[in-house]
Amino acid sequence: MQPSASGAFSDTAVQTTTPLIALVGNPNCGKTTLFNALTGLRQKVGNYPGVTVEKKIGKLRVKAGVEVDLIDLPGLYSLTPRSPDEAIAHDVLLGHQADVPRPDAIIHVVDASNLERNLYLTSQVLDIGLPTIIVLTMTDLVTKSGGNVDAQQLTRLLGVPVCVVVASQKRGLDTLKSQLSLVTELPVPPIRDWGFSELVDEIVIELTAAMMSQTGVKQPQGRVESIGLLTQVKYRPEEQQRWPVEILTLVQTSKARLTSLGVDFGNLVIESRYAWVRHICAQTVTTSERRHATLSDRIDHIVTHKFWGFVIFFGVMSVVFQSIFSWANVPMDLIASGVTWLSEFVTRIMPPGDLRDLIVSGVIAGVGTTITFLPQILLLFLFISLLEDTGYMARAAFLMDRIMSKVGLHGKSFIPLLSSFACAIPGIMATRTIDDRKTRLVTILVAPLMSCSARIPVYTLMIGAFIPARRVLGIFTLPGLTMMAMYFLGMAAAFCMALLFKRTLLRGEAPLFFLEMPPYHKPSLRTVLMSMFERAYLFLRRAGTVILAVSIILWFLSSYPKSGVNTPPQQRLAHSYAGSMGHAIEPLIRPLGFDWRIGVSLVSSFVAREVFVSSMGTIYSVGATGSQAQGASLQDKLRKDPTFSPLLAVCVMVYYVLAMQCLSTIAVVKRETNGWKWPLFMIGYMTVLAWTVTFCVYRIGTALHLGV
Amino acid sequence: MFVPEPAPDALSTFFAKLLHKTAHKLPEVPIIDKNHAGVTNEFDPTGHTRMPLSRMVPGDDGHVLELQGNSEIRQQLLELGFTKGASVGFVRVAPMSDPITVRVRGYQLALRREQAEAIIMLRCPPELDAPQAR
Repeated sequence: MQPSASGAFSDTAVQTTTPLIALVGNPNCGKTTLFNALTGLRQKVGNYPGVTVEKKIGKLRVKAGVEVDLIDLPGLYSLTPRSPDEAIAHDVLLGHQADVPRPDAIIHVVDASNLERNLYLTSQVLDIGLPTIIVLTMTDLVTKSGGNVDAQQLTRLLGVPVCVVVASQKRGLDTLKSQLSLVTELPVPPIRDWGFSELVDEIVIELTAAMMSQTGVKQPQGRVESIGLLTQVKYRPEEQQRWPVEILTLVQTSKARLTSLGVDFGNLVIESRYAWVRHICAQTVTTSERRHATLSDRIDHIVTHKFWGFVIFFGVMSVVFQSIFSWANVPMDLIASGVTWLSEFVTRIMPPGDLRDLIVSGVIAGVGTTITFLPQILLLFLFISLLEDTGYMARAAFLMDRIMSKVGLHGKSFIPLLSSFACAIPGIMATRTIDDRKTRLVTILVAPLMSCSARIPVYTLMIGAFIPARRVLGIFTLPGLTMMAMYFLGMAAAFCMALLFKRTLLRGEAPLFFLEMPPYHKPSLRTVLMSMFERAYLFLRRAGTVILAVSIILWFLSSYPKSGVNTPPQQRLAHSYAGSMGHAIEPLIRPLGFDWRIGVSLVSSFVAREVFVSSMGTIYSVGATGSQAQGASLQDKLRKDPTFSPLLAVCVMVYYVLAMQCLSTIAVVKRETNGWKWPLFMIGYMTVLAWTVTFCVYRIGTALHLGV
Repeated sequence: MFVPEPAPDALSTFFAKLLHKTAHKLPEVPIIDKNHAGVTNEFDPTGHTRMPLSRMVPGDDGHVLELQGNSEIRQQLLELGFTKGASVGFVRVAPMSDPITVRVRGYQLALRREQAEAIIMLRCPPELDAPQAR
């Protein structure tokens, strides 16, 4: 479509806008630490349109009066556009990404302690033909292990400046900045000799020439694009649109010619790159000859041990789980009481009326719901970034992969699912660590089935009212067992649905599971804290707005049309739109044994599950804003209601285990999947599932006269 | 600027060394056929065994002989560093025997056995001082 206007050699004109510099590197190479060290808090986080790849742009002053924009590309091992991450990086660097101008230069971060691995990407980055600065990180680790990487030799061999930077100690940052201030004058990397045979070279040159004449691409981009097209096995739809048909047919005939020559061009290119990598490594790296078990190896021996591995894993998980489940309660209660105080304060200072109601019951209540989740999100992401930064996360995924693969998931799906027991919102946000798109989607889709803490009030109310506190087998109590059964029901449903989705909707080749086991290292406090606050900010900004809007709509539905001032609260709700909706859906929920009163509560608790309790409270006129404090009296009222029965209580609980009754989750799924398709699908499948299972429970229960 | 050397690829260097070391033990028929580089005789007296990476055990070292599977999977494995002749060390097995961790190109990589099945290796005999995967 628009094969980049700015070839590397073409634009030496004066820069009028702020230069854009792309930051490229392997995962775990210290790229994020460098990005944070360079830009500090001047970052903007967003998404590339249509994909879930994060787009981070930061501003950096390189010298007085000179600023550059820094775009942090996702961490990757290769620029071959296979995963969404790689495709984005590839497209940004070659100027195909519509919402980002082509970068003026590249900062390529290279981990010196893992040079052979990192230089593969380097070989691709240098081919792009943009001015490049190599930042060599982790040189302190190399020195510590008795080795050496000759940075000067590397500069000479690569033909581009190499800067040694230890970001944690701020060493080398000034040199880097002074290089960046000359960004337009930086040298373009020399063109590498691929060592292709004459026949192969001829084919490549032919394609390049055709591409340059037909699309106006300049060198060296033409050659890079040609080699890329010849290497790739599959083409993305964008790529098929990007190039004229003539080029695409020429690519096919060229591929056929290469095959007839007995050349597997893809292999040839990759092997040529690795040959180059070896050549560079041989001249720059010296390692200490004695290869003893490193500290990482020794830690791994314990951490992935058959017995101790699991002990440590479950120890770590219980700390994480405990913290989001109970430690977070303290700040959550504080926030909740703060919100209550604020709404009381507003009630006091404002004259009664619709505006006050809107602000108190709509805005404050809606925003209040949103920010009560913050402590859980902050804590979970504190742990997740700690675990990732130290390298333990990879080991946890390594341990759990076997179990998770049984239901078609991934070792990395475990932590999101576990966190969902506290709250599905941080759980769904944690799925970002899963690279495979389909696995990630399945994990997101089943995460809300894990019983979150917002269901506890519903369970407590129903169990307290209808499940007799009888002892079972001496040690268990019936209420305790019922609670546990609900948790297990959720887990079983999650695993079954995951399996179902993997077999049907999101089928496809089993994702290849490749996971680098980085050496353990000390986490950088700055990186950990920044990633924690970034998540929190994203949650507030993106999910918060949707939650606020829908809270206001729901407030409107449950307070209009207005009844007279003297109408008791239970009738006000009954006569509102929400009440009418409760009546309207009665035929649908009748088969489950639910009447309109539960219907109203279902509608209003769509904001959050715990609203069910207060809504039931209102209907049973236990108080205008029922809270758990009034639960006891509500339990009595429910028990006295002849239409309610233990079976019905179980049905309500089963429905709440399985149904998507959480606005915030939907908002987060919308954000994480970049559209309404998946959140709507989620509401649909969970409602169908909840209805079907509850229906079966109710019918079987009635037929067997259980708890009627 | 880099000009590739005329291919002393790792595998042939390795075999040259090996032949030198074990020349006196070799049978009349050369076990290494240049046209099928790396395919060893089943009764290879030097103890090198051809097997998929998935069947090696922790502590084993070897070299990549070939990659199986469709060209997409092969390319991905190649990009990860499993090029022909690359040395690969088997590091550990997860508690439930899957996935496995290997050392290739100086880093540790976990992969499922299913994928390791596609990587055909020439395993070095334990007693031979095989070049370590750096």
